[in-house]
Amino acid sequence: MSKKNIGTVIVDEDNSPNPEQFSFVLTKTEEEFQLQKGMYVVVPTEDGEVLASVSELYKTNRYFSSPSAVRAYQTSGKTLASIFPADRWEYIIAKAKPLGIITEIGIQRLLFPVSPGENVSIPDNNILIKFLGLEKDNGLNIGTIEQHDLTVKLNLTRFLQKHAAILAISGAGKSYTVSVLLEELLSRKAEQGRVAIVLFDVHGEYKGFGDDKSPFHKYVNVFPGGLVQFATSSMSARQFAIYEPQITTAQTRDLSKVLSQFYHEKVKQGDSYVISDIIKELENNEQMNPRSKEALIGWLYTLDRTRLFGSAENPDLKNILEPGKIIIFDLSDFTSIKLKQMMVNYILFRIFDMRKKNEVPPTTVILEESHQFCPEARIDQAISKSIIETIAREGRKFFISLVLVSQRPVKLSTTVLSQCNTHVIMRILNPYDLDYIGRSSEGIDRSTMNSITSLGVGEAIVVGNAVNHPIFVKVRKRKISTLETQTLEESAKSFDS
Amino acid sequence: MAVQHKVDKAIDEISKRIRTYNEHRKLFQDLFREVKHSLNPAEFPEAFDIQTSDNLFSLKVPKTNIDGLKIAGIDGGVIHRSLNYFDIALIRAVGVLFYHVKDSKPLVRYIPEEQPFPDILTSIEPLTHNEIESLISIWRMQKEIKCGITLLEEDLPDIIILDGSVLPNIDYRQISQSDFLVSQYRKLKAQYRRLYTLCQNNRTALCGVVKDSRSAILTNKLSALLPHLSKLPEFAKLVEIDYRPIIKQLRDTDLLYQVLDTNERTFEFLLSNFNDELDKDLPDFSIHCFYMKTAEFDTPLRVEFPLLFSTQHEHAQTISSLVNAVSKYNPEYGLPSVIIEADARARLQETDADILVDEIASKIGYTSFSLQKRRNRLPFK
Repeated sequence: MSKKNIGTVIVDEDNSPNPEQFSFVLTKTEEEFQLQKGMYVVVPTEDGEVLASVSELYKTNRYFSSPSAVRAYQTSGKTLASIFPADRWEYIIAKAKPLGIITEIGIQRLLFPVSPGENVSIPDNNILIKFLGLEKDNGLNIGTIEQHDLTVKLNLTRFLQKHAAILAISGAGKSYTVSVLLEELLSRKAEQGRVAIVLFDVHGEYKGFGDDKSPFHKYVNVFPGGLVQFATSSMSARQFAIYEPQITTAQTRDLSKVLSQFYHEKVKQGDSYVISDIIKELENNEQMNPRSKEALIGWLYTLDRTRLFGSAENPDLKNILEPGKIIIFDLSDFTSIKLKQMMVNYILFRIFDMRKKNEVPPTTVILEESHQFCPEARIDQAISKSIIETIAREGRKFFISLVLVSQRPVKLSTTVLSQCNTHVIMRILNPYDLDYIGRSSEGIDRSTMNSITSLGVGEAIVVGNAVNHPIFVKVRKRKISTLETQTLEESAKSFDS
Repeated sequence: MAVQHKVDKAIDEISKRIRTYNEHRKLFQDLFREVKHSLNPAEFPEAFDIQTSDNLFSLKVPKTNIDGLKIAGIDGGVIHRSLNYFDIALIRAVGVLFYHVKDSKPLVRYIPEEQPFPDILTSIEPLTHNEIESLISIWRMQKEIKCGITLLEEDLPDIIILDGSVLPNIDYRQISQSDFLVSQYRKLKAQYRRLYTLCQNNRTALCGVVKDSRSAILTNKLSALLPHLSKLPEFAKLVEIDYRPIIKQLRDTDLLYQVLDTNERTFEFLLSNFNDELDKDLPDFSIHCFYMKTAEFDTPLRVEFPLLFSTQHEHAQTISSLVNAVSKYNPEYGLPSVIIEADARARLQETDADILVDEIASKIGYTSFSLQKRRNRLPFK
């Protein structure tokens, strides 16, 4: 283990060192070493090395410690710094939070304080990789821990199997981070383990991935939302009821009878049917209550007018989902949230069903603006909420994982967010969102929470299952340049011309 | 109730006495302040019994530009532990040299270094408490003077300012019973002599600044002089009041705090001769002194200097102008900047001595507690 001594543990006024905290004075000059908040340090003990993260940094200088003296000296017309060698009295004190102790039997919780006077040094990157639970080679490279120049490679399983959430205000770099994640997933070789990817692109931001200039275009299928069609014959009466919540239980039962009849008469014979066939059959049915029948037919007409229901599924999900490839559903042309929710519901329902039967590869579903699809609000206001919650709860067993992207975490379903075991948190300012994240993110402490508002664009905190401890990451530069976004001026000029 | 009444009465009486004394003192100081420029200390050689080259009681300190000057300050730090079987002292001295550069912060040099490790000195000599205190003072001064000698050997400062007296102030009667102490004192005096000589040869001014001086040399002399002034009309008001009890209790700095203006000094006067019976065959150095007010809200400094070159008056003017130039930055704290820095560098922490005592105790098989004197290890506070 290489050592770079940078400081010495001191006895501080806050009863430290203690098992939760210790302070050290930086023994290097600022020119020799730049200590930064969030940096990791190690301190030797008899049982092993204690790894800690720098949680606070402050400078002290005896010449400037008394406000009255500073003011008094300034009255001479000279600054204190010009009278005394004040710079020689400037010290940097750091407070560090021990994360654990690296012993022969592994990483353990620290139950005793480090000793005052001990050397503080910067750990070797290999130690950090092991301690933080990162990958050396096969992981998803999402960026770096800047202070250590350490590439953050997240283990695929740890990051995705138990779902992830990317949360940030608009403009903090969510989409950028998603595209970096996509690049990593699409760059994986078969021997590394590849997943099929489904992305619901609400704003049409990711179409560039399929551009000819994109190095990934061979693995990308951009599918316009307008061409999506549900295979009516593959749907149950319950699904119709989800799409049109006003269909009553009795009507669902009647519809189910018709669908069952069609299954035997048509589907088993290799035929299919559409909503108009169902309506015709219902019209001829004299056993149903006429008023209930009329209403059901009305709801079915409404669904038929969405033009989403056809005789065959488009795209054919069973064939289009391939390992190492992505299908991007471009929903940017749709203004109706209901239609978008119906599409998300249908596609996820189908993928989940096919994964149960192992008919499609393990799949990662990325859902932009996910608060629109699984809001905390009532279920009848979000058609897709139920299937997203089901996948969040049970998807892990069938290797279908969710990556939820949202700028309003407080509006996201609690059930779904709590099932996302890894959170990539970028800049968030809304106090309600922050509070909500604090309650739903496991392993996030107060000091990390306080840092969220001060994150810069492209900076993120990764917390949860993918890492052993919360880490601050500078998201790496993406490789593709086909996702250029327009400025307001550019957009205005383009419209004018 | 009766007890409470007695206490209240006693407090009232004390308060009244203090108030009366303060009013009286203030009156005396104000009157003295009014006549200070009329008093020529050289005019009454017998009555005043003071040798001075200045013919005014107070003089304006000349302004000086310190750009390009090298000003040094020396201070020492001591921590002493008196244990059952031995005495231990941690001692260090730091010299600070500021090279003042125009429109910039001073370039600084430390002698021997920025934060020198203290000397650990122990004595198992059978000495009395007073002798031990004297020994430690001697050791501290030896360290400080050695620092000054090194400064002069390695650099050419324009002035060296010592923290405290410029004399080896040891009560010879207290050390004369111990040969060991006498030898240490001789060594110290030799060092002082070398420092003075080096300063003389290099034409480096040397002085010691005493903060919070308890000396009453001036007030005592004034007390003797004032009756002789009663015939002079300008002093009439001053001598009319009952000044005797006031002046008896006043120390020099108490009086001068109200009497001197900022950037003003008293006349310089001969304080003592450096020689004593131990080195009467060696060349003599006369030590002079003045008080100077460097900060409006701080008591005057007592500045002592050996007359090494130049005339008494000129030497006092040079030293006062240099010391004032580096002391006048803070209206509430008028100590030279080099002394403030040297003090901060030399100061030792009590814990440093504790650690040392613990280490020694563990090596000799005692607990550090059992080494402490009984008065320091009371089971109850």
